[in-house]
Amino acid sequence: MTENAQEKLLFLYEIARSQISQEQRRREDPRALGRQGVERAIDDLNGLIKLGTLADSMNRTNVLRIEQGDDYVLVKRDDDFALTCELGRDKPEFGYGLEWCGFDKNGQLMYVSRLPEGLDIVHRFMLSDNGERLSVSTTVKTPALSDAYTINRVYMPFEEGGSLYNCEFTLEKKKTCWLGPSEQ
Amino acid sequence: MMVRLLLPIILALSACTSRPVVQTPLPEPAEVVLNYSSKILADPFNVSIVLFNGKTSEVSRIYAPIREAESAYLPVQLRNTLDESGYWGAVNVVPSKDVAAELLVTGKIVESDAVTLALDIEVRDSRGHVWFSKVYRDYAMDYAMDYATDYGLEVLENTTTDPFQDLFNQIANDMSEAQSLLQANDRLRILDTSMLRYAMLLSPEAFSRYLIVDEFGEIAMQGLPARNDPLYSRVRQIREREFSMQDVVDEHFENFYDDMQKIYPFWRQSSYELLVYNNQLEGRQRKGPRAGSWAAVESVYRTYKELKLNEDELRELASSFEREISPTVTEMEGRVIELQGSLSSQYKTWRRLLREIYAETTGTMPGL
Repeated sequence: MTENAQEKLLFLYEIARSQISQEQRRREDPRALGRQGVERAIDDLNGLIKLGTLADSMNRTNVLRIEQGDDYVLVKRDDDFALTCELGRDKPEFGYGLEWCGFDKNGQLMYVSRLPEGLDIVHRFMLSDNGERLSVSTTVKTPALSDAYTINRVYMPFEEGGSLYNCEFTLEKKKTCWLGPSEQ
Repeated sequence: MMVRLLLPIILALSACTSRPVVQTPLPEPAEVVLNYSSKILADPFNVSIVLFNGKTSEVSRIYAPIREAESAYLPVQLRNTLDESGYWGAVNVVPSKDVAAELLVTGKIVESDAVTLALDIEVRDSRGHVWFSKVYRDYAMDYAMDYATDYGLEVLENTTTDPFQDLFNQIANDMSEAQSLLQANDRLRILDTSMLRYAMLLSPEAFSRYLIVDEFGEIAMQGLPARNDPLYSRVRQIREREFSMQDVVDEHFENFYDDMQKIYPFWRQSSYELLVYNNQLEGRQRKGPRAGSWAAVESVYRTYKELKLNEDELRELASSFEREISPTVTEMEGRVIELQGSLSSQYKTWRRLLREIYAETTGTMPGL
């Protein structure tokens, strides 16, 4: 089920706030956690919100167009860069950071990026058994926080119709978009 | 910044599949200044630069379209540099090998990323004589600066905007230097052989006797048609039409270059920034994980995203280029001609039409 990023963050925020309150109550003295402890907890909370916001920005696409060949998978995302995967590469690519993609043993398509500053991003594509749902989970992690943040979105297959935007890049007109089915 | 290689190459990089590995010894950095012609040549050579060959097994299928775009972009950069030097006549980028070119430049992209550019360049004149064939390699200035500083080397100031302009300056300088070694007689032979080879394309039975090819592929002239030979005069006229077509084709590449200019330098810049990050990361990994500031993390992701978006645009641009070449409509000998398809096929059709027109007007058999 597609998660709402704001609701999820609010939920995590409430949990974290509750944990801080509990800790303070457990020690009976509201100041027992210590100023530094509270500040660290708030920092963690702030970091979590930022991480969640970043993860949400990576997983905000409404429409995916997936193109698959014998040796590649291309996931074009509206308003975001395409995820490109050349299949059959055993070793990670050392391009810009470290990147790896392919199908795991469960047949799930994964894109893994380990970027500078310890920023890890994992996109995992899981197709339901009947092929009618595609779940995309995006996990973001940095060394600054002990926990990773994951957000899920679920997509349904669709037939291109009149209500959908299509865009095309041409040398003459650059990027142009229109309502309706693809012209190709 | 051009780097003179005193010893074997020190950087092992390949586009998108490897990261910089620094070994010793380091190359000596040097800025290459373009040599300009100080006089106007009476009969300068025309130069044809064939699209570079960008195919290599090391480039993944995903990055191949970007390499394809570079194979049209980089020749235009070389053309602009040759034009600027003032040593040459018309310098055109052509989609396929032009055997009748006075001077033909062919190239292969050996390596191309934000840090390194390596081109295998051959320059050959119409006689089949190879002026030189060598691999040029250049490193982006800032990258070289990082390591030069580490090793206490002097880095020269580079005032050009393109980080690899030195490489093109070096090719242009080598070409002008090779040209300066020619005798006046050589120059005449190159021009005459070029015209005769073109004549052979139109009518081999009429002109093949003037040229012989030796076992090394070099071509020697056995003689020349008479000055008032009507067939040869006709060849000259037809060739003028050929030049006009070359200008049309060249304009397509120029437009493509302009479009690439809006994306490619930014792609290189973000690639470069991430490669520099990689090096920093490598150092940090040796010291153990370290948490970066949130601002740094956000900055890394912004750069990464920009790079990927630029790659998407480059892919689109490369695939649009051939797909969208508009038909060329031109007039020739009172006929309106429309050429369609890819640039390469338009060019071939154009040549076939020229041969047919030549045959019709001279009563000869068209060449193959």
